[in-house]
Amino acid sequence: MRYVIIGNSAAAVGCIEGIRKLDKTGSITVISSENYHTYSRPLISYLLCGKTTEQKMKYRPDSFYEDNKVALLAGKKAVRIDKGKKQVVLEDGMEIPYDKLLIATGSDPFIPPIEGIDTVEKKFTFMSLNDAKELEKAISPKSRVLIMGAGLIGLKCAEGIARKVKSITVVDMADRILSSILDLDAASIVQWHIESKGIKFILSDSVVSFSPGKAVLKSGRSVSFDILVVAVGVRPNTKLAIDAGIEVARGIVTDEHCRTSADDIYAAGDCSESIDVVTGERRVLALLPNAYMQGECSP
Amino acid sequence: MKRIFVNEKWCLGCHLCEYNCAFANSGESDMVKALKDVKINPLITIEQKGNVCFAVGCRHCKSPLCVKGCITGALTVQNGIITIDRDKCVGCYTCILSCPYGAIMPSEDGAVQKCELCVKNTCGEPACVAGCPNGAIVFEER
Repeated sequence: MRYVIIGNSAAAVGCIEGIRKLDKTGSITVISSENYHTYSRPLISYLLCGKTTEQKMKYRPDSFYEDNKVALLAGKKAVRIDKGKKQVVLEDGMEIPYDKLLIATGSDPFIPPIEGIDTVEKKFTFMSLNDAKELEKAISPKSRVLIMGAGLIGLKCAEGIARKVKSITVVDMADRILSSILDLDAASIVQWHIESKGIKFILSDSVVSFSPGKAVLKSGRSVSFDILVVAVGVRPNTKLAIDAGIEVARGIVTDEHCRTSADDIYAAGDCSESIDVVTGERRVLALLPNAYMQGECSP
Repeated sequence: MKRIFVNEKWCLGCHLCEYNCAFANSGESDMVKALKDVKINPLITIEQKGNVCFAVGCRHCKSPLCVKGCITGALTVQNGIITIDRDKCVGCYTCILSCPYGAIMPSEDGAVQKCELCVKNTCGEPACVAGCPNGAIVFEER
C-alpha cells in the first residue's frame, strides 16, 4: 500500500501514527511546502516571547520520520491531484503515485481587500514559523504595531511580541474580543487582563483604508503604526481539491471516516469540514486536537 | 501492562495516597522535611462525597485524548505509560480540558503534571499503592 499525505502538521502526524498502528510496512510519503521538520504551529507565539525554542517546538522527535519509515519531501509543493492516474503532481513536475491520499493542507490567512493595504510595506500574517521569524526581524522596541483581528491568532501574536515593541493596538469589528468563543461578560474579563499588560483595543470598528503609516477606521478615527499584522481569519486551503473535482463547501467535505467525495482520497484538519457532533451541522472546526484525530481516523 | 486500579469500596478517605505521592515526587528523603508546612499538589487525589470516596489518578488510557490533543508533543506514550516532557510543555492546558477523568493538573512552574507510575522517582513501584493501608489502590495487570 502506498500512502501519500499532502501537509506536514497535526493531521499529517495523526495520519502517520494511525497508519503505523495498522500497517507497519506500507510506504508513506509526506509532501510539505514548508522546509521544516513537523512543528507545532500554535507555538509560534511562545517562540516570540521566549517560552520555547525552535528545537522544542518540534511536534515530534527528530527521529520521527525515520522511526515511522516516512519519506519526507520538504520544501515541495503539490500542484495537482490526478484522480484518474491516482497520483499527485509536484511543482517541479515530479509525480507521486498513491493508493490512498490524505489532503491535510491546512488553512491560509485571509487578507481583506482594504483600500491601500497593498501599499503597507511592513505587513505580516501570523500562521507559520516563517511568519513568526519575519515578524521578529521587523519589530524593534520602537515599533508601534497594529493588529487587525482580536481573535485567537491576533491575540496570541500580541502576547508573543508585547514585551518587545513600544505599543500594540488591536482593532476588531466585533463588540468584544475573542468573539467566536466568549460572550460579552467573559470577553470583558479577558480584555481587562490583556489591557493591564499595556495592549490597547478598538472594538466595533474596522479599518477602511490605509495610507503610509496610518490606518483610517470606519468611525473616522485613525491609528498610526509602523507594523501591521493581519489576523482577521483564515481560509481552508481547498484549491487542490476543487481543481480535482472533489466536493468542497467552506472546507473539503468529509464524512465520519474523513473520506472525501473521491475514492481513496481523505481530508483532515483545517482544510476540511465535517459534522460537528455538538450541533449536528457541518463546519470547519480548526483546532489542533481535531486535526490530529481526523488525521488518525483517516487510514 | 500493570496499571493502578482503585477499589472504591475499600477506600477509607484517609488521603494517605496523596501524601505518599507528594513525598515520592518531592525529591526529598525525609517525609517530614518534604511535607511539613507544605501545601501538597499530588498527582492522585481523593474524590469524596458523603460516604463514597475513591482515589483518582491517570488511567494511562490505551487511546489517550491528552496525548492526541497535546499541541506541543510534550505528552507521549512510553512503554504504555503516558509521560510528560515538562521542559517541552508550555502550559496551554489542552490536556487538562481533554482528560475525561481530571487526572492532569497544573503545577507551580507552569507545565502540567500527571502520574507517571513513579518511574521517574526513586520508588520503583507507585508510592500511593505501597502506602495504601487498606488495599484500596492496587497495581496490577487486568
